[in-house]
Amino acid sequence: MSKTLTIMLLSGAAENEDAEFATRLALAAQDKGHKVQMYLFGNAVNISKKETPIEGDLHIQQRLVDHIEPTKSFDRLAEIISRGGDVSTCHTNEHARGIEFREYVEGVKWGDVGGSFTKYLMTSDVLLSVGH
Amino acid sequence: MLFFVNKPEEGILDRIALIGGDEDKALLLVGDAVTFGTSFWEDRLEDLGVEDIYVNKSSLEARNIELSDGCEVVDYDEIADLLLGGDEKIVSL
Amino acid sequence: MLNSVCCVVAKPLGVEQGTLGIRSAWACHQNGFETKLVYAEEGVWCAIGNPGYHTSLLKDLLDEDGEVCVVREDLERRGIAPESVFEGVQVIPASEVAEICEDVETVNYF
Repeated sequence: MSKTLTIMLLSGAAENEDAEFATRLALAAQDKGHKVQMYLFGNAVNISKKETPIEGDLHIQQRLVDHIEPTKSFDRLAEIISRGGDVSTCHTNEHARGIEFREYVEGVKWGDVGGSFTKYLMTSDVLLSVGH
Repeated sequence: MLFFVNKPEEGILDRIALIGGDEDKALLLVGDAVTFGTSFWEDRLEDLGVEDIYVNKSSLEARNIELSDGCEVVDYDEIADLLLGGDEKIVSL
Repeated sequence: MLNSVCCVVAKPLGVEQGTLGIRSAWACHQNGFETKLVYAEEGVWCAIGNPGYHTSLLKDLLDEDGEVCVVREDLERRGIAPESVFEGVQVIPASEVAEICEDVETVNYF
C-alpha cells in the first residue's frame, strides 16, 4: 500500500551524512511507490539552491573531490521532485543565511513551517526528522 | 517503537530510555550511529529493552567495524519498508 | 494521517535547532495538531525565561493553551531550581516523558 513519508531535514550537505541519507531514502521510498514530502529546515535550506559551479581548476585534490561529490544532494533533490516529490524550504532560515534571493533547484517551493510543514503533516503517514 | 538514530553520542541511550519506557524497542542505525551496532553496546541496549537493531548497509560499508550478531544490515529499500511497511511509532532522536 | 506530535528540545538556547523545535511546536499547535513540547537535556536552558525570541514564542504557546513541560532531573543536573522555570511550563519527572510520548503519533528531537 502506498504511504506518504515526510522527511524534515535539518542538516545541509557536507556537514554530516544526513542530507545524503535523507535524499537516498526519499528515492528508495519513491521506488517502492510511496509519496515523499521533504521540508528543508535549518541548514538544510542550503541544498534547496542551485549549485553555481566554478570554472577552471578546482584546486582540490581529486580524492577529496571524490569524497565530497556524493554528499552533494542537489541532483538527488531534483530527481525526487521530478518523480513527484514535494519539497519546500523554510524561507526564514534562508533569510537568516542571506540566501533567500538565490535560485532554487528546479521544483523546490518557498515555504514556512506554519504553512508548508503542517500541510505536509496533515497528509503524512510517517514523519522522520533527520538532524544533528 | 522504532528509534531512528544517526548520532554516535552515548546520551542517545538515555533518550531511548526516556522516550521508550517499557515499550518494545527497535533501532535503525545510520551514519556514525552504526557504531551502536558493535558488541561493546550489546548488553546496554539489551538492558534498555532493545529487541531489534537494523544497520544501514552503506553507512556500515564506509566504516571498518564489526557488528554484533544481533544486528540486521538493511539497504535503503529495506529502510523504506521498515519506516512505511508497518504502523510502529517512529521516534527521531 | 498524523494528528499528534511531540517536539523535544534538547539543544541549548544558542543553537538554532532549539528555536526550530519551538517554532515547529507552535506551528503544529496553531494548525490544530495535538502538540506537546518537552524541554530535556541542554534544552532545559531554553525554559528559564531568557530574554528574547524563544521565551516570547513560549509565552504565546502557553497563552494559547499549549502543553509544555521540562524534565526535572535535567534541571537538577544543571543546578537549575524548578522555581526558575518560566511560568506555565510544567516540571515533570523523567519517568512521565514516556507516557507523554505514548499519547502522540510521532516524536522528534530538536
